[in-house]
Amino acid sequence: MVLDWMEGAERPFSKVLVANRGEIACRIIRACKELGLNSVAVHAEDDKDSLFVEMADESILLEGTGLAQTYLNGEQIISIALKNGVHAIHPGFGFLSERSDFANAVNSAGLVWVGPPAQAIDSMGDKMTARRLMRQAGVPVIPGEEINESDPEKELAAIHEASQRIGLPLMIKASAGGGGKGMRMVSEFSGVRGAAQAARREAEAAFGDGRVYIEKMLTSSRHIEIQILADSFSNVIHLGERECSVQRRHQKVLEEAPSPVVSEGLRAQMGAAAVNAAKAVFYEGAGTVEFLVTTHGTFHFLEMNTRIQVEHPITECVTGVDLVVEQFRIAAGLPLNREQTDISINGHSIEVRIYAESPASGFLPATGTLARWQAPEGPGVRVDTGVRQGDEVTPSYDPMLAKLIVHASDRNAAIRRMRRALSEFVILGTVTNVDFLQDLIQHPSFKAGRTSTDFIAEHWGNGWTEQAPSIDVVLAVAVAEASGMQRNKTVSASSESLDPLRHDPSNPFLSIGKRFP
Amino acid sequence: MQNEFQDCNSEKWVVTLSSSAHGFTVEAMSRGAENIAVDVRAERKGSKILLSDGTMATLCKVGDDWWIHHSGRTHKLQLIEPGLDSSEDSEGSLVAPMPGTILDVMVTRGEQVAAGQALILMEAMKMEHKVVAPTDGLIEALLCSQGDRVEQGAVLIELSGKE
Repeated sequence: MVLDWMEGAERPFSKVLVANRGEIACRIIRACKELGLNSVAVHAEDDKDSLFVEMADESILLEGTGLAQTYLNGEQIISIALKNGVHAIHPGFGFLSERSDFANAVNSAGLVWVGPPAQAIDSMGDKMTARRLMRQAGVPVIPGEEINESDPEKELAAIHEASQRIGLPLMIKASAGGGGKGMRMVSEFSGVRGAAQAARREAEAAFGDGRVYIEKMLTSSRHIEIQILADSFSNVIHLGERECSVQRRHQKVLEEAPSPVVSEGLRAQMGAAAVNAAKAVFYEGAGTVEFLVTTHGTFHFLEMNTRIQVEHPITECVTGVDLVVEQFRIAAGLPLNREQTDISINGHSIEVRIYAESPASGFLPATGTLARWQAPEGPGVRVDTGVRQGDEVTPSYDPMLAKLIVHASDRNAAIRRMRRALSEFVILGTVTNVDFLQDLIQHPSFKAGRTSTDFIAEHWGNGWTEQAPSIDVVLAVAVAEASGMQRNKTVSASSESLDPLRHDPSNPFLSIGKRFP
Repeated sequence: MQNEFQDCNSEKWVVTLSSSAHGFTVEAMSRGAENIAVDVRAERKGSKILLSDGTMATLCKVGDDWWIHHSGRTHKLQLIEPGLDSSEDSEGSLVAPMPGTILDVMVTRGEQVAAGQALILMEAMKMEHKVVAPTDGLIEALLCSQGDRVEQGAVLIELSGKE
């Protein structure tokens, strides 16, 4: 039986394996449920009680320990899919999502790959190839040069010459690089040689490919990316931009859409460039083209992420398009059901990433029990998470606990809504960055829309200090201790017995039984 | 009843309460050496505390730590058990600032090290962190080796300080 929305699809499917975990696995499983698709979670032993395993229709244990044997073990995942009547695999982000060999293996096994063609992943994954293709497609790239010398000494000489032409400061980047690896900043010509050797060595070790290229470093630039959707019939549309400038050590912390500095005109230009970028690699599915935008408003291609992005919900909020649903439609071989002119940007959306980390001690990752977890609710608030109350935060996986997304009529209203939502977020038992995020969104420079990739370093260069507790806070703690409030419990049994009305189901004051003042 | 707590700035608070049918009243409160005059009351509401200014706090105790969410901010206060001095005997021990994996042990037992020298490189959740010597000293004991997984607070190195 083909699902109604899939009628006429070239590659119909009804059972999807989600090759990921945590928050994004939950997000994908929810889309499956809405589309009437059966979902299969695969999980490592230490994830057996995780939310995404509970949410999926079926769950299957991945044998082995460590990422390489479990979530990165494409062979095992495909074999599970084949044994369990799965038709399609959604890789989420991270893990196997940008491994072209996995995409190929999925297709060769006769399964549907919910992602771009392997050749598009490869073209964009090799940064030097991507730069060349983008230039050919008329997409502006960051001023720089690719180095094509195999002899190490000649290569160093070539890098040195190129650096003179490009000027300082500059970046030496590994062609196979990503995630901050194999990347060196150079601010003096005397440092070029050492930086080139280090970048090469790191890339050689991490990716088995030491080829490097040089880019001019665009300081105080903004990181702005364009979401695109492409179907199997060469239709490509863009869904506007996401401003992702607020980062810490190349990790995004806050994203918003639209960008406070992108005009209609610039959006159209960048959108057209992103569409050209996608067409140049025969892209299919949801993808993101990242640009650096200088203070003068010129934009340069940075890279393309050939997967769904962490921050995709803000685009969903302002365009009303469900990107994961679109991924499934495109994977099934259906044409896009929207044209560029159908896309408009409605209101403003902000996402913050809630991490288990201690901003007061240099943002070190934190662990603990989520003894109390109460996510914000109400108008315009969306929480995408893979955890719930009682879960343990362990060092085995990424420390991101949740994404908090708000949507409102304009940027100021969105900031006010985020402030409200953050103040409603109760997480006890593990240190998080919620209070830091509260300071961040209330910072005058952020409110004024003056964000760049240096924003956090600029304003919290010497670290962030947590607010000391007020007298009220200490008093509340003393009363909790004195009244013997139970450890680790949401509702203490003894308190209910103190108040006989609490047992009366018809009591309308169960939740509003305030007495003070 | 009297209890002592320590806040994020290692400031010690002593709170003396008296209870009545309408909740708790503060008899005396001090922060460090400073006495604080307080005119607030508080009452327990299930797992929340209602303060006399109308604000509510959500609390939860994990181990000796009280976690509290109040006015949109989260705090942690450690209960100091009477008779226990928490600041004892931890000198000279260098502990893991986060749970993770030991990537490199850069010193050997018996080695003389200088303040600021990197001793151990560890990694957790994609982040690298260096454990450095807080003072000049001698490595008395090495309690971890490369590849070990350690918990937060695990003693990694015993360092004898220069007296």
